[in-house]
Formats: sequence, structure tokens, C-alpha cells
Amino acid sequence: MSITVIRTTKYLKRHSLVIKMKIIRNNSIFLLIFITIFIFLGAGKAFDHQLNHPSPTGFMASDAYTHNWVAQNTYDTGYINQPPIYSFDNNQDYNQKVDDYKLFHPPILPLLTASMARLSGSEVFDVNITLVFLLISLLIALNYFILARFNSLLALFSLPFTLLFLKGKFFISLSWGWWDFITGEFFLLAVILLLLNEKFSFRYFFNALLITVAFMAHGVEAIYAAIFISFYLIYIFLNKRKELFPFIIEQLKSLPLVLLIGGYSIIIFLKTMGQMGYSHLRMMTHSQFLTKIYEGSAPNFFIYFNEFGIYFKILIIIGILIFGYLLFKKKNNPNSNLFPYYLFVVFMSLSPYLYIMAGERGFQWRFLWPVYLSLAFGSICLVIYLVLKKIIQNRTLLKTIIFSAGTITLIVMVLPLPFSGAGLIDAVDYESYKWVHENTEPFSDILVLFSPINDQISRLYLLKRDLFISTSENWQLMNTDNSLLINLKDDWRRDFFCKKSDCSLFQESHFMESERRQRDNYFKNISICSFDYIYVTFKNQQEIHNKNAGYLNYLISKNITQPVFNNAGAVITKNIVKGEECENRFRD
Amino acid sequence: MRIDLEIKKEVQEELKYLLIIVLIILIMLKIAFYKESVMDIIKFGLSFLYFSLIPGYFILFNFRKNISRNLRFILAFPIGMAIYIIIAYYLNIFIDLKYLIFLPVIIIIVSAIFTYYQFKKLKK
Repeated sequence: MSITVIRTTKYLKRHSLVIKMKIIRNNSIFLLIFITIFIFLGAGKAFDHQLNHPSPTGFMASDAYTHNWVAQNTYDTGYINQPPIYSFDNNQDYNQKVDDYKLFHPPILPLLTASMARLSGSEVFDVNITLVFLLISLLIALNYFILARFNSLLALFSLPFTLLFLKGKFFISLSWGWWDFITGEFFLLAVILLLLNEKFSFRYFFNALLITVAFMAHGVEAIYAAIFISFYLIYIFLNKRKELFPFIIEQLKSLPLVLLIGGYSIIIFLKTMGQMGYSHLRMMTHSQFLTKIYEGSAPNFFIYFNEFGIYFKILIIIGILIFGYLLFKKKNNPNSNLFPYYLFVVFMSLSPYLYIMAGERGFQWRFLWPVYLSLAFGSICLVIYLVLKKIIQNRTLLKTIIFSAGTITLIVMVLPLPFSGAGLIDAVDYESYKWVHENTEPFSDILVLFSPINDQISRLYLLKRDLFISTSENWQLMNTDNSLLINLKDDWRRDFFCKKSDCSLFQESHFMESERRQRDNYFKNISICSFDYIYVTFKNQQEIHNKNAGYLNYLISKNITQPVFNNAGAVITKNIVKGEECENRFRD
Repeated sequence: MRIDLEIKKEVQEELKYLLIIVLIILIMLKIAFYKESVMDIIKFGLSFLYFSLIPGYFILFNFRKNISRNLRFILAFPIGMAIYIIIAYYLNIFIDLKYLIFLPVIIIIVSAIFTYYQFKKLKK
């Protein structure tokens, strides 16, 4: 017995040592440590090191709630193409029309989120934002493996630079909800990694699959994949002409598969978002673009090179030049086929200035500059490594020192880390939302009294009811002399769905007409006597709050409405009477 | 007989590697979200891997001769997700999402059957 134990212990010791050496040598351990640090500092800090929260956490702008709402609706209905019950007039309307729609919002992230939420039992909002952050982490790992094709040390030294994602404007791609873009980029990098590696018999199938999913996640990423493939074609035409024909054949095999696998969603896209002008392809200079679209000044989410600060700007330019030089120097090395990726990164970085440009989308790509431009940082660190190698003989030690120094420096630079906290909806708000879910009929009409915070309108989507939202103009005109409320926003929760007949290949589409009709009817004048509930948030300026409270008290004093829910965040009242009786009481 | 042993060894080795990766990812999540209970980390972590790494890994195992192990593991995430999502998206036209969460199991079984026939062919 004891001999066996001793032998086993010796065996384990010997093998664990071998494993340790192997791991340190192939850099995997560094990658894992880095990804852990990245998640800890990013998602960990932003979500208070918890996965489950009482309310949506880290959602700082409307878009985040919009995408989350689609996932929540998929989770609630069980079907991606089904509008919510509360978007219909009544049960009969619901039963008749519910199967007549298709979702035209990108379906990838909502479907994945809803599936994970169902399996894990976590709230949809928690799964959604954490999943997006994990995709960013995997994106960094994919970029690492792409760069490691050329040089594993360069790939390793590139990692610390990606920490800049946690700083400034870069992080808003997560907190403001540019989630479909991140999902699309994740699949785009997978396409790039796949194509940069050795060809194998069914690679065309995986290529087609990933391009299709990139398109379905965020349409423009399929175009970016096409740009990368074009660069790759140019590269092999110039350097490896023997591989040109097989590569073209491979891509030609992929194309029909893309059309076959993604045809259904391509048609939906072209008939809906395509018609609405979401393609964003523009032919104009940068200044023309700003003047025409944004009245001369760039919106606050546009990222310019200045975001990096003067030292980093110099470092990036030098790093890019070094990387280009290294690639050129090793152009005959079969593993140095990173030229197309290099050109892709440079081209995409300059895209907003190239006359034919993707407009707003060209700037969106820059949210991931810390990942794409990390190759510049890696190149400089590699040069430092090559210089110091002559002084420090122990290469593992030297590698560890440079990697650690880079990581620590970047951590210090990204401080203070991303905010933490609830965001636009906190726990008390969400408590009131849950009350609405549990205590009101699905077809209830709810009036939301004015608050500037509701300008981020999607924060109200999780109320999951037919909402009429008071605007600033409505608030100004609202008085106790007239029951009619002017200029209410009619929030219609079927606006991510198209009628099947409107997004079908074989039928004439009336999608744009219905969109126009909906837009024309967005603002409505409706009597206070038409609503079932009134929702008032306390997150307000004093003056606005006083008028809202005065109006509500008037309705209560006239026995039109009565409070049914009250907490530190909101008050909800239920209208006791509607129609003529209500009008009479209002006038009395 | 020798081939049988080699196959067994290869499969064991790969599954061991997969298990180690799964454990490492769970540990990474536990470190980042240290305030969360172990059970919740396991539930969240495994559900993430169930829709990404695990089906993707079983699919790519059939291409182990062409793709290195590390690369298979990193590509397993996007490919596993992509396969699940594409199939789920079309099936969801008719089938409720609550039944579709079993889809990765089917993907894993089908991939394992492919592997089995691959090995069988190898033995012949």
C-alpha cells in the first residue's frame, strides 16, 4: 500500500513538474492569468464581483435596455419571432395575429442569452451583459491566437494593451449597449483565425457558418469579413500564387452555404433594416459626413486617435511600423501570413477617412482598438525583449518580467476602473417593475408621467406593458383644467418585428409604409381617462416632481385614481373609473 | 488491440484536457465574481460552456488531425455557439426555446457518433 502511495507521489511530482514547464513555455498560463485579471477588473468591478443582481446592473444607456428587452421577450415568449402579448389589443387580437410576425433585430445574442438564462436560472439581464463581457474576453484570446501565428511572444506581450478597453470611451461599448457589434466582432475574429490557419477538408463549412453568424449578429461584420478575405486574396496572389486557386475555390464553396444557412435572415434584413438605411455605406469625406449627419460636431461616442494620449499615440505608430517591418523581414516564413490581418487593422482604423466609408459603423469598430492595436504594443515589447535577451540569459524570467511589467503599468493607467452600480434602473425601480408584472393585466395601458431620465426610453421597456410616456411638452401643458394629455409618446413594443408578408422574399413588402405610419402616429393626444395605471418615478428634478405630484393628488382627490404601489423609487396608481364617468369627475 | 488502446488513450487524454479547461474557467469566474456562491458560479459557468465550448469541442475533435489542440479549444467557443444558434434559430420557428436547450446534447451525441465511425474506419 505504502509503496504504491510513494510511487504515485513520485509519478505525480515528476509529471506535474513536466506539465508546469510545458505550460510556462507555451504561454497558456499567462493567457489564462491575463484573462482572469481582465474579467476581474472589468466585469468583476462593474458588476460588484457578483453574477446575480436585484436589478439590471451596468446598463448605462438606452441601447443596452433595447437589446436586453429582445432577449427578455425571447425568454418570456419562448420564441424569437413572437411579439409580446402586451403589444396586442386583447386576447382575441393576440391569438389571431401572434404568429404573423418575424423578428428583424439581430437574433444571435438574444437567443443565446435567453437559452443561457433558461438553463442557469439567472435573470436575463444578468446573463446578457455578463455574456457580452465574456465574448470580449474570448475576443482577446482569439486575437492572441491570431498574433501567435506569427510570434507567440509578440502575442503574449500584446495582451496588456487590451486592458485599455476598460478605460474611457472604449468601455461604453459594453455599458451603453453596443452588444450586437461585440458579438459580431467575436465571430469575425473567429473567421480570421480560421482562415489564417492550415486549410483542412471542411474548413469552407466552418467559414460559411461563422460568416453567417457574424452577419446575423451584426450585419456589417460580414462585410468586414469580406474585406479581410479580399486582403488575404491579394496577399496570396502576391506571395503564394499556388494557394490562390484553392483559396478561391474554398470561398466559392462557402458562398452558397452562406446564402443557404443565412438566406432567411438576409431576406429579413434586406426587407427591413436594409430599407430603413441601416447599411450606413456612405461616399463622402469625414468632414462632409460630420456636417451632413451630425451638424458639424462629432457625437460623444465617436473615438478618435486622441483617446490614447500623446505617448500612446507615438507608441502605437512606432509599434505598427515595427510590426510591419517584422512581417516584411519574415515574409518567406510560412507562418508569417499575418500581412492580411495587419492590412485589415490599418485599413479599418483609417476607414472613417477613406471616402467610401461605413459612417457611424466605422467609428463603432474603434471601440475595439485596444484589442486590434495591441499588436503595436506587443511589437515594441518584443523589441525590448530581444535587446534584453543579450543581458538576461533566463528567457522565461525575462518573458515573465516584461509581461508582468506591461500588465502592471497598464492596470495603473486604466485606473480608476469602470464604474460600478446599478445604472439607469436600480433595485427600487425594478421592484416597481416587478409589481407591474405580477399585479396588472397584460393588456393594461400605463401612463408614465414625465421625467428627463425617461428620455432613455428603453429603460421603461422592462415594464412589459403598453406604455404612453409623457414628454417635456406634455408636462408643460398638463393641467387640471383639461383631461386631455397632449403629445404623449406611444411606445409600441412590436417595433422590432415585421409582418411575415412584409419580410418575405415572395410577397410585396409594405414595411416602410407601416414604419412611416407608426412614426406619424408616435405622438398622441389622449385623455387621462383612457389609462389603467399611472406610473410616476421619483427620480426627478424638484420642479417636475412637484407638478407631477400635484397632478396625481388632484386625480386622487377626484376619486379617479388610487395608489396601489409605493416605494422609494416610484408610485403607481390605478384608475378606478374610465370614460365618461371619469371625465365628469375630472371636470367637477 | 493496439489501435483500440491508442484510441482509448487519445479519447481519455482529450476528455481530461476538456475537464481541466472547464475547471480552469470555473475557477477564473469564481475569482472574478468572488462574492457569488460556488453553486451560482457553476450554474452560470457550465451553462455558458454548454452552449459554446463543449459542443464546439466535440465537433472539432473530428478535425484533430488538422487543427492543433489549443486552436481547437479556442475555436470551439465560436463554432459551438454558431452551430447551436443557427439550428436553434430555425427550429425556434416551430419549437419552444425551453425544449431547444437540449440541442447541445444532440450536437454532442451526433459529433461523438461521427468520431466513433472515424475510429472504426481507422481500425479497419
